[in-house]
Amino acid sequence: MATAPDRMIIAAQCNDHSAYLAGVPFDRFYTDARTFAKTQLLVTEYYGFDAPNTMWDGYNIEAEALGQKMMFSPNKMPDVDRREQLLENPSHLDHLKIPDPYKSGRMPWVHEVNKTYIELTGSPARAYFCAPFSLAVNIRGYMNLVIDINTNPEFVHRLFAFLCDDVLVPFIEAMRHEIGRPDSLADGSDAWASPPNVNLDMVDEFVVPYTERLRERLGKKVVTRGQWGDARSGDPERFMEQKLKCCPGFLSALDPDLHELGPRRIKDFAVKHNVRIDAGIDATLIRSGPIDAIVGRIRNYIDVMGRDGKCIIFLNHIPFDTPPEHIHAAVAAVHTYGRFPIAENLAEVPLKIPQRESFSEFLHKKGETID
Amino acid sequence: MLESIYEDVVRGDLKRVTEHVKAALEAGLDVDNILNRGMIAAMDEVGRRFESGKIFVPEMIMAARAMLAGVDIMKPHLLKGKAAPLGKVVIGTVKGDLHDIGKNLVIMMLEATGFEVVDLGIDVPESRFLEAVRKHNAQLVALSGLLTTAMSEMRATAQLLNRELKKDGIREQVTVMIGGAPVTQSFADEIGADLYAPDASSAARKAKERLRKA
Repeated sequence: MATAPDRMIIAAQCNDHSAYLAGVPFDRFYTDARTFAKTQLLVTEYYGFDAPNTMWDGYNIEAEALGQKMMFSPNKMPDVDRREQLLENPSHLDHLKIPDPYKSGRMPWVHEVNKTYIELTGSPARAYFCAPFSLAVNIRGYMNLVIDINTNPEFVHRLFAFLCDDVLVPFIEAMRHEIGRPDSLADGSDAWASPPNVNLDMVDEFVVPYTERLRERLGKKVVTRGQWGDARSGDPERFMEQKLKCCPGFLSALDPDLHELGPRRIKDFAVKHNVRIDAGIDATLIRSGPIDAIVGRIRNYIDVMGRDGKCIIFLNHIPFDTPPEHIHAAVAAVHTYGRFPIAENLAEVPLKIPQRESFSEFLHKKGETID
Repeated sequence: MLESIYEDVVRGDLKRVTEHVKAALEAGLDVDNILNRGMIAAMDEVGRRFESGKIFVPEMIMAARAMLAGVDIMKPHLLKGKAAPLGKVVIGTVKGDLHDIGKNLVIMMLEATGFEVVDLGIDVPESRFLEAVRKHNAQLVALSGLLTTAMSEMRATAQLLNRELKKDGIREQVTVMIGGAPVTQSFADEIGADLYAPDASSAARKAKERLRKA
């Protein structure tokens, strides 16, 4: 039987920062599975994150496999080339080639990444995917999709059904098959489905039903999350309920919305619905600091949201050039203030941020190299 | 008639905007009135509603699209008449960044507010911004970017514009504006930009206010 953790967990999405810290060109990082997985695991260990950072550029894989033109560069994460959208007009949908989830684009690379993680850690990997709405944006373009939704909703529903049934379901099944876990959590990213990019009626019609469609076909362990914009939604509680429909069991609440609405409001909602909170710390704050502000924000979140053990701290996409000392401070803050039972007055708890060696010194000490 | 056009634009009803603008022109309504009291006033209202959280980006896109369709119908009349643009804006996404959605929204809102816009596209090197400002005698240059990697390019572009436009003796006549997810007012101050806009609606509003003051 697993023992209860003695402190709160901190995790991070830090793929760009990992590549930068390790000096690996981004175009190689996102195409060389062993380098990618090994670097991510070493960076996880260096910072002391409680969960390995295993995420790749999760918005790109399916779009690229469908034939969307991409841009690779040594200095940044691959991205969709929005000058040439795959679906220039709705009629192109009938001519799209269904990807082979074992052969198309970088789908084979994903399987290799997952297998490498399992080989290096012995732990199971996760099936990350791009949620239907964000995938539609990536191949059709945001403005086009918005206009389609308003002028040609039948096409949009046909597009989303195709993306679910012919692209995502086979890809998720292939990922699960390749890691030998048919019940693995399928974790979809859906940042595009966020106010003010969408209104809440659009979420009801085009986001929630297609997450449910995936769940109908793949079982309960399918979530889509990463939506932000609660503070811009006009009705944060309604939006949070929509997010829970996409991701039952835990509520992803991300800065700057979490900070703007206040952790108390988010916690009250989570308690009412009996769910865990994944509290995302602002990428800009993590990058720019100062350390006191990072520590203060984390302390406040733990104070308000962490006392019942139903909260984890998550560093939202760490910008590539974030100073490592900012991340060390964040980890130290969670591991100090988040010790159970949470201290009555966290302001009185002394925080010692360790003076750490550089990443290259850390590698040298371990006798590791990243070739 | 003007009220109908105003309402059509606010609702983002392209079909009715085009019908009503045609009807207004046939009825001999003043072109400036159709533009300013019918459509630009409507877009001001759309901007206000967006900034106060009453509507979202999709509603703003549909409204701007409807208005621009109306402007298209009016173009021959505008060219003949005296309706001059509010000013000229050069805009682009900085080098190394391929994102254009924010930029395109800003363009829509600027055009809907009455500016003439020169779109340099995405992945624009700093020298092209400078060349375009000089070539088009722009009163405003807008730098967009979504990635954190874009921030250093934005800084370099702002510094080049500040330095070279000062040498040209026209720095005071050109407003440098920045926007995009990773940037803030304090970053704008730090790199010597004149304006920061958190979204497309406020970009158009601030540009208009700034040029009015000038």
